[in-house]
Amino acid sequence: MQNFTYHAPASLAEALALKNEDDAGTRFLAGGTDLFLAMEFAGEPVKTVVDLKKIPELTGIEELPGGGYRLGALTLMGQIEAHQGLRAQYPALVDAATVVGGPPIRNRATLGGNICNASPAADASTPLLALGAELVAVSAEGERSLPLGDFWSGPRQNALKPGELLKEVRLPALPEGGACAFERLTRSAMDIAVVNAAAAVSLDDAGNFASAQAALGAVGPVVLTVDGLGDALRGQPCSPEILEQVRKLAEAAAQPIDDKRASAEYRRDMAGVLAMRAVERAQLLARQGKGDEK
Amino acid sequence: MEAQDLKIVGRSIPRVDVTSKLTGQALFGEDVKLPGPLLHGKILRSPHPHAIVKRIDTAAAEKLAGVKAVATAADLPDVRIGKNLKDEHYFASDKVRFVGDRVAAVAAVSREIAEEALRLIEVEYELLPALTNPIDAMRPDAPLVHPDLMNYQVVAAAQPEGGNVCSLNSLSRGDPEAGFAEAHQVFEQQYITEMQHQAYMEPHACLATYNPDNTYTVYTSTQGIFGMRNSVAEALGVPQNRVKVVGTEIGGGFGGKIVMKDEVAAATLSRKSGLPVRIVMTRAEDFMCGNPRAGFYITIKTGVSKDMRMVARTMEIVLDGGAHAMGAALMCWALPQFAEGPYSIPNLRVTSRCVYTNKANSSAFRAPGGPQTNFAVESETERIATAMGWDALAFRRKNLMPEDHPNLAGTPMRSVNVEETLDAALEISGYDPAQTGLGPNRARGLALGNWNVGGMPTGTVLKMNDDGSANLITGVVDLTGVNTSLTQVVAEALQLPVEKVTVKSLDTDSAPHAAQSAGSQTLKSMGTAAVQAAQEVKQQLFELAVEELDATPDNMELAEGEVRVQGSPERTVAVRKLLAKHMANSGPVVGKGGTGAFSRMPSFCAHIADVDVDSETGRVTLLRYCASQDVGVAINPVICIGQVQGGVAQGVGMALSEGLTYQDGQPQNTGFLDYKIPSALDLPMIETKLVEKPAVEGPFGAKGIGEPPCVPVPAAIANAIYNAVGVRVTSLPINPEKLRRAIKAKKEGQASS
Amino acid sequence: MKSSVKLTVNGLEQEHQAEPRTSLLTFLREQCGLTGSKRGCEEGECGGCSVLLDGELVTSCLIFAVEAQGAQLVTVEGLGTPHHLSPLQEAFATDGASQCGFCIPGMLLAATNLLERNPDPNEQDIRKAISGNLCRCTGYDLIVAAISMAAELKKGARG
Repeated sequence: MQNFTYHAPASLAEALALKNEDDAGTRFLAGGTDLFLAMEFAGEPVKTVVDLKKIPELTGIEELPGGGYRLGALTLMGQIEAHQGLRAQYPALVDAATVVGGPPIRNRATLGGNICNASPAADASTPLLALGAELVAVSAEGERSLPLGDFWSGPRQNALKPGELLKEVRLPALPEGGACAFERLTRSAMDIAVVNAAAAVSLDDAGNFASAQAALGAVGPVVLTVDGLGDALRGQPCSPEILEQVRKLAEAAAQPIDDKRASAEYRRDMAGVLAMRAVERAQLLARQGKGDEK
Repeated sequence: MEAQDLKIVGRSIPRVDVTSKLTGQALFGEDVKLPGPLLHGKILRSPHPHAIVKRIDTAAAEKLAGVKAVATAADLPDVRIGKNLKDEHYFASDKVRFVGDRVAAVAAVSREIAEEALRLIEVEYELLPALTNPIDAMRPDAPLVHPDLMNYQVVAAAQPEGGNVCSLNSLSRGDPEAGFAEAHQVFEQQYITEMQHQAYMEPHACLATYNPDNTYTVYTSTQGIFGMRNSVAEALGVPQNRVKVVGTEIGGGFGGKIVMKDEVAAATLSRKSGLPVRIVMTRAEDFMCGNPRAGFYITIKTGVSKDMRMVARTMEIVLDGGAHAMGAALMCWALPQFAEGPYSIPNLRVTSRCVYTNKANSSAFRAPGGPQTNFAVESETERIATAMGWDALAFRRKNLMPEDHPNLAGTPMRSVNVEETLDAALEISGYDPAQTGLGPNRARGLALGNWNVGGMPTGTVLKMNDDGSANLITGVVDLTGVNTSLTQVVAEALQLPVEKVTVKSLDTDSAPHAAQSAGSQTLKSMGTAAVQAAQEVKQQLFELAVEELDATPDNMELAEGEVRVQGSPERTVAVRKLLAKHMANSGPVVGKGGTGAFSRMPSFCAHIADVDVDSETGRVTLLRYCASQDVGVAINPVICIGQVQGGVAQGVGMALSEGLTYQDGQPQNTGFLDYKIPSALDLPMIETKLVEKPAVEGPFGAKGIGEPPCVPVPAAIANAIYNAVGVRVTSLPINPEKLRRAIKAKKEGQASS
Repeated sequence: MKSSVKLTVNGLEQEHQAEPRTSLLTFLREQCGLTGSKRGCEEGECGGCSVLLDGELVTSCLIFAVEAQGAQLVTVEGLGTPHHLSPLQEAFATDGASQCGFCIPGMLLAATNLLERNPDPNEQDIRKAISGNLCRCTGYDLIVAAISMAAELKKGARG
């Protein structure tokens, strides 16, 4: 690894100023579980590392006044895993955070780092996309928010502008009668996803789908949305025929490639299976949620 | 000695090394510290699978600040080395033959500077076509990995055939072709397995110093210090007495720490720089340059009679040997001796060919050749039984080898406890051959296994101290708890409490020659030598006691620090007194023991795997695993149980997830991210039953037990998968994608028929 | 390039010069001389380098030593002494949980961390807690059993 200069500023302003001095040669350090390896093995030319862990504005998990949650970019996977409020509303996110590496990794890996690293197989990103998360980026010029779906442009490529930093993730409240679920396929228990899928659905009073969104990981250059799912499912019951449609839509949405972990054909096939399972399980959870209210 | 007489053998005493390992004090390969500065060595390895080395220029690297030495082939004698076939230059001089082949080495004041220096070494390569598959490598027009093969010096085991076939062996009995002609039904199938890496948790690490008296000291994490010393001395071109190898604590080996690695580079760099040099492999280097289990291509043909007998079988086995003839060539020689498995087949021929490819050098991995051939044999057992409508268990029982069954080399197999071992597994699991299904997509599968444990030449010295306590001096590496078991063996033989026995593994200058810790023979060989040494000590004491006790030595026994006359417990003399007398008369009491090679004797096991198959994804979950193991006598039952469970875990990896993969000669999975060994979440509890029946040889009737438990795992799991979803997968690993494809193909086949 | 890194390891203050690129693992092993933490993969996959950093289980191979400035660390050397093993170490010894012993430092720290949070773990809790720590020798059975026994021992000591 090349040597570098290390800073651990205590304020956001200081961190942004350091980044602005030499944007291309400076990397923000959150948990470091991806950055360390990138610097060691990919030989990334990093001159300056700005450690963000002392900046209070980047931490914290809070319920928002109008519903939904704010998660600071430095939120650890382990904190998501242990958060009862998140578990109650967003089991898809909690389940995904729970399978990011082993416990020592989850005590270090951050949600923001995971999103910025822009791996198409990042487990936590798939439920966030299905749940319609928004990101807040901050720079010396101020803050801006953007939908998560617009954030990635390719593997390891994100939409942050020079001098910008991911500050937080905002999760909208699930619609009334909504629920979400996460599914993942790996070669063994401790593994990167061969395919993952998440679904967020809500049901109407008749028990038919009122809304549905799904996302797929590891089947394209970025985490992908299953287009057309909401329209196809709205007003429909969760029947085998409808699930078959989910499978077809997911297979159509997938843009997989062959790699050492799986063939494109298998990935497309599994995108369909996992999307179907995620929608079906989310729907079951939604049904149970409704049942609880009665 | 009767089993019930044993006081110390048979107890699960804690391992003698456990405290140092639990407190972080144990010094493994990278942990060795010497006074003063040391240098960090790094190896320049070939990025190409097959190329001619045209030019190496190290000038720029040598000039880099902080670099203290650079070594290449020019620094070593121009000799080919190898234990089976002399086919390797330590540093590539003419060609590189796999990605990772050693080209040069650098020692510098830090790891980072050494890495930078490697980038400054210029090597001009002329690329050659690469062979990544042994079947392709056997084609007449295949490029030759070693064009001079037929001129190489054969050391042992290897029998070059020519082309890329570096070793060929074929043994037979009866007339298999006639057997097939007379058989009621003949079955044929091909089975394929992939290279499996040992994936020990500690990567290769060594430290070497060149000493002022023109000797070398090498500290290294190895399974065998004497084999290592001999290899290092050969490559350095110095007599063996001038190399001292000190075995460090070893963080797992499983056969992967037998072949010399970077020790000679470290020694050469130390000689050139005048400082100690440490070389530690990264995990990627270890995956790239290790000595994996060979991938096999097995064509197995079986003829059966109407009355459930296997009347004829042929096995044509092709081994993916990798770039040099290492353990795979030795295995190629040994395979025909055990590929029959636990059975007895009157007309049998086993032919094995070890083939060069441009991949890592295949060598030994726990039960070399065992799991691969067993996967074919035990998959066929079930496939044939299913096709014939037979009870697979009854089919097995009908064909089991009897006591004294000669293997294909003519060696009679003794202490054949296969039936007892099978029954033990059936009992703990509650296996019912008529009811292997456990629900939708769930079922259990059975496989028998065996491994023939030999023995290797080994010696030891037992020193008696003035107070009657004893020190056993060995040159054996404590890989699997052997020093604990040896402590028990010596304590039992001398009737001492374990606290009064110390067993130490010393270095090659200090200890008599010992075999490597491998092949499940470590305790069998060294334990036999230790028992002999104890006998010698007893004999010396008894002879001195003749005067005191007025009895003959053959009427005496040792007990509680005394020599007694058998049957007259009041006629005793203290051992301390005899030791003092011996010291005054003729010096210390020292016993020595030694064994030559043993013939190979089988240890059996029977495994039952319960699986759940996700038929939509192909993912297999192990629900339960039961394993019985024929151990002869368990010197230390907990150590035996640990060996069985660990072997099963490695077999599970081989069955479901492990395999080194290559694309155009480039290794694809050189880290734990993509080389998947089982984690705690991938395994169920492994229910283990030790079957005890003292063997005809081995200390106190103990058998070798380390290898067998990984042998039947892939077949047991493959059989369970078949029973669950009706799909027989004939290649390993059975990863989700492969199984899903097979399930889909079966469904489509059914739909179209 | 080097700067001073000061932290507390097993209750003892350690201050050494380190480059920013020096990993916490290398710092512990080479600067502090504590070689109990193991370099098994340097990719955060094997868990051999696991330590407790301000009470949290982390892989020290993926952390820069400078990030741990001022932190409290516990390594395997801080869990017990040869004469006074921790209950967990005792259980590992009697249950035969250690074979080659290379994964054991990381395992012990993962297990220590688990028992601090969950004094009564079931088999699945234990397996999850050690899922980031690979072992190639044991098949995990005897390790799981030892952690379970240590939990029992600790409960007995309290009750």
